[in-house]
Amino acid sequence: MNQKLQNILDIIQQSERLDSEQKDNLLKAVNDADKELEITAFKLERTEKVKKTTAILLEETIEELEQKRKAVEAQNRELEIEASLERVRAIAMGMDKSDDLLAVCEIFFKEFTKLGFNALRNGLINIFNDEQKFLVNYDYSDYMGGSISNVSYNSNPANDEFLINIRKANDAFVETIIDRDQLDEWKEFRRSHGEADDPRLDNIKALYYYNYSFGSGSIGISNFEPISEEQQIILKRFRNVFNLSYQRYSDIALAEAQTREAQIEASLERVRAVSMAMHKPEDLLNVSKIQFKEFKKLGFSDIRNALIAIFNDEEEYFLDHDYSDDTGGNINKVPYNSHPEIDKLLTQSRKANDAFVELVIDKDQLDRWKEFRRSHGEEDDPRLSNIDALYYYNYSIGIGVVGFSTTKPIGEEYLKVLKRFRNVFDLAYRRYIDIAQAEAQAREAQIEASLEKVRAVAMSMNRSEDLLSICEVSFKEFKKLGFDNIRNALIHIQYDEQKYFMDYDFSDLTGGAITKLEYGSHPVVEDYLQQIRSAKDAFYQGVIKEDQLEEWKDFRRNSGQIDDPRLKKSTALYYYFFSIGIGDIGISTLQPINEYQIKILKRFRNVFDLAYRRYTDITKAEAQAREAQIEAALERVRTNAMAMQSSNDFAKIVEIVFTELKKVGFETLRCGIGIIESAETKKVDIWSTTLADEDLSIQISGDEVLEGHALLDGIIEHWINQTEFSYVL
Amino acid sequence: MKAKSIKGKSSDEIKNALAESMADGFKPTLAVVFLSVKQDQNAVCKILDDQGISIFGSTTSGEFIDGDYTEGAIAILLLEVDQTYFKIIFEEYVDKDPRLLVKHFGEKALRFFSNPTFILVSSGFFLDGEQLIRGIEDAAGIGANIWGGRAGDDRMGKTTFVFTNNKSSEQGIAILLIDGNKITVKGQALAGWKGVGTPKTITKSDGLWIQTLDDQPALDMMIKYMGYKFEGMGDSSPQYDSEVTSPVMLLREKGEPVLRSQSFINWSDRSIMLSGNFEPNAKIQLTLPPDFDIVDDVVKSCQQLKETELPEADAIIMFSCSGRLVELGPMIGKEIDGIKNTFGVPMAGFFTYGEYGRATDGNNEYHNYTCCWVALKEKQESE
Repeated sequence: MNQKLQNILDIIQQSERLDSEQKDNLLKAVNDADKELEITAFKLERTEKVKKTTAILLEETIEELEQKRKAVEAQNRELEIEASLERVRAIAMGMDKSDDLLAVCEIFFKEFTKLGFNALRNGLINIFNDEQKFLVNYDYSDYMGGSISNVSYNSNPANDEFLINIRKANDAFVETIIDRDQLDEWKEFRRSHGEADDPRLDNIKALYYYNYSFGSGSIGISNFEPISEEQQIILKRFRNVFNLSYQRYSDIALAEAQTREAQIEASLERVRAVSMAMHKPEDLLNVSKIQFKEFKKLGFSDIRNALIAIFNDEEEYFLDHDYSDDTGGNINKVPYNSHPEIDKLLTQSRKANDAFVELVIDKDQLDRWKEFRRSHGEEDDPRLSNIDALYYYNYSIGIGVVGFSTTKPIGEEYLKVLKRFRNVFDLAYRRYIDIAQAEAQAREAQIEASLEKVRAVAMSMNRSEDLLSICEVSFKEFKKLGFDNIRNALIHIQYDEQKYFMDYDFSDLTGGAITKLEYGSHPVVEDYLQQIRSAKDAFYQGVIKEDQLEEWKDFRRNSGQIDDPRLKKSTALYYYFFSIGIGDIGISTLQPINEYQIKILKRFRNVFDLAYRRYTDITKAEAQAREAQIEAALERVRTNAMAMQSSNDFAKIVEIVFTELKKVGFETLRCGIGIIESAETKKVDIWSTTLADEDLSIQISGDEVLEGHALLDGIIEHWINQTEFSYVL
Repeated sequence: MKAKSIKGKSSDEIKNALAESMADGFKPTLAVVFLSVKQDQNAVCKILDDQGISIFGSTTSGEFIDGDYTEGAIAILLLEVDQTYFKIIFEEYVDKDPRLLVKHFGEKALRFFSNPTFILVSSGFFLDGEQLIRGIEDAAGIGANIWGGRAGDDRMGKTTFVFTNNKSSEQGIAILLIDGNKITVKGQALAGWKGVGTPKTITKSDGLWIQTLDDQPALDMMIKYMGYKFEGMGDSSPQYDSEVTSPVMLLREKGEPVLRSQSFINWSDRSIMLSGNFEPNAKIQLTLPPDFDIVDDVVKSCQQLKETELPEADAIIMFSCSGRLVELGPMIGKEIDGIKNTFGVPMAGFFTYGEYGRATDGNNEYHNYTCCWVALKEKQESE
């Protein structure tokens, strides 16, 4: 209890003047007062406590509100920065080529300005190219606009120092200050790499560059004043946003490049496959075709056609193989010196094995060019109407060029791809040439072997019938050499005096046959003879088609040749002959043969010609020797006959005749001389010689009558008529 | 139902008071006993037990049968009521899931009475009071009639007990089940504390312990705002401090905010412990004690209930937070008297370490710093 109240309470209790009821009332009042006092004191105490707590709370709340106000301000600033970063991110994420970095510089500049970079000169991005020792500088300001310039390394001390410092870390920060006394040199440096003069640099104390590295480059600003710490942080955040976007761009660009590379490699592989599959010159058209299609796939939308030209210096032309989906494939022989642009192509392409030649046919040259194309057989290309120019892009492969033509100029990238096509084709074509040469050598060996077989048979000829053997071996060798449609092999020997020629032919179906064909027996024969006799190595090529064929079959039949069943199914019959002067050698086929096969045929002719000449020479020499032998025999007979003195000498004469005939090759059983008495008596005295037991025996008979048998009657009859007579028993 | 309340400063005084109350033929069958841990609990129980009276008891941080509250004494509400109208369930929760345990109580209660009222007291400091509420609701439904309080120990923070005949536990739960079909039980729970300042987020917590609020040590924040002055600063073990009187307002996504006391602190990690659970990352508000007219508001609210829902009562049981005793000081007697006088019937109550009761939104909650009271009225045969 309150001490004062306690005192009152004590007084009341001790009072003797107060009665009990008064005391109780007073004591209750004092107790109530004490209670009230206690409550009041408690309220006071608690109020103080609450007041204190409230004061702290109020203070804290004010502080909290202040913090929140600052937080809201910072948040607003943060939102402002984030919005700026978002806009930068949007532009940076939209990058799809390096030139887009200028747009990023522009958004940098604009957003830095919005964020209160009041002394900003421009926004910058540098991309380092260590390989070629320069950096590409992209910068933008509203005042100067955008510019891209290449700045060489080691071209300015301040720039070199910047390069050293910025390369120290992937997020390095570099401040570069160009003082007033360095400014003129700096301006000159800027001019030296092609940057336009910036008038804002004329009256400043210093120029400040702030750059953050992002590894392969840096981003930053140039400023007319030093930047604050907050601005540096903002710059770093811009760097981080840009870094991510640039990384993404780089990754995408890399992925796209890899995809593109894979596409190109796939195209090259297809070109390589077709090129490697080449086995004849005409296949170059297939290569042109695949190149055209692959160029198209790779986005060469303006391509007109793909070309491969192979030079033939010996004959002064090149074969142009071109292909487009519109015109299909064409092979054209283009003569040298036929157009100035062609001369340019030839000259420039010879400068190096991989020389690049660009031809541009301007609009005013196009008509002449079209005419030139027509002149070597090219068809008009409607795509050449209404164009401003025609462009040819070619890479040399040494013995020719590979390229394409377009109606619009193309960029560097496509030329690089063209060069890679050229490289693939070049290797494949070289391989083809090597293989073709090896094959040609093998083929040559095969042909030589065939010719050798023909030569061997031809050299062993000793009679005209042996020509059939030559036909046979020729037929078989032609077959081996790929004359798949050969019908037969033929040799003709002409006999002008008798106006006919002998036809020797052989095929595996009909075997060998010898037919005598009169000159002028058929217009075809007439035509053939006229051509084949025009020179000693004349070539005749003829074809008998459809309605002529039946007539020809009749003619053959009438000439004694057997029917050839292959002609029933054929619609044409082809003849190819090479003259050997007194005749010719050739083939007939059911399909036309090519130039190459004609050349082989000519080589068969040459072999046969030589062998046949030898045969005819030997035959002639043999004939002369025999004539001499006969003459000698005759001389011996003549000498003995001249020495006859009586009819008894006939015995000796018949012996000598018998002997001499034997010497000149007669396998005589008996020979004799008869002296006929008269036509009337038909009597004859006979001296005959025969071989008995390898010894000659001479028989003499007289007064034999030559009658009673056709042989004997014939003798008398022809003796009377003084004509030759022979009789076969 | 007849009711009388007695109080005493010792078991002997209680023995005499009991005898005196029974002198007129009053034969209590149930004693609601609230006594200080300093009292001889066994002796008091024996006195009642000897009379065949069922005991539903709890230790206190102050006890009263009217506005003249005491500390260190004994307050008993004696009820002469048909023994079939009530049951007492007593169980220790050591090594048990309290929610599950209480759910079983709820299920048991429904087997006894179709419409039970739960008046529960619990001992122990680290039992999550909310789990008891939810456990009963798990069995008896969300609208179950639940009231009660957590046992006190004269604000020493050492040991509390609940007890019944021959049983007592410092980690136990006692439930007085009342047949709602025979006895009407109505009550209120009012606090009056007001949230102040901006909500703080629980940024780090572990069970009932809050380590940080808005990423600052929770204890530092409480010291800063509430101006606590502690003794024994630097002690690394968790400790109770009766000076920690300001509750915090737990803001919840569902339901009204509830008050949570935070009487334990840990200097080592500068954390505070709440007396009820909370969601991780929940928000709290600091509080200021109610205005002085809260006492009048509580009494008026009681009067309103009397006028609208329960014109008469046979007895009143009151569970008032010990924190209210600190914060309202001598005015707490006015609050107690106001409620008692509203019905003019015997009452007993104690200052608790937590209160169970229906909040103003009708939901059962575990409270702190709240005045919870219930009035019991035996129904007439015709009702």
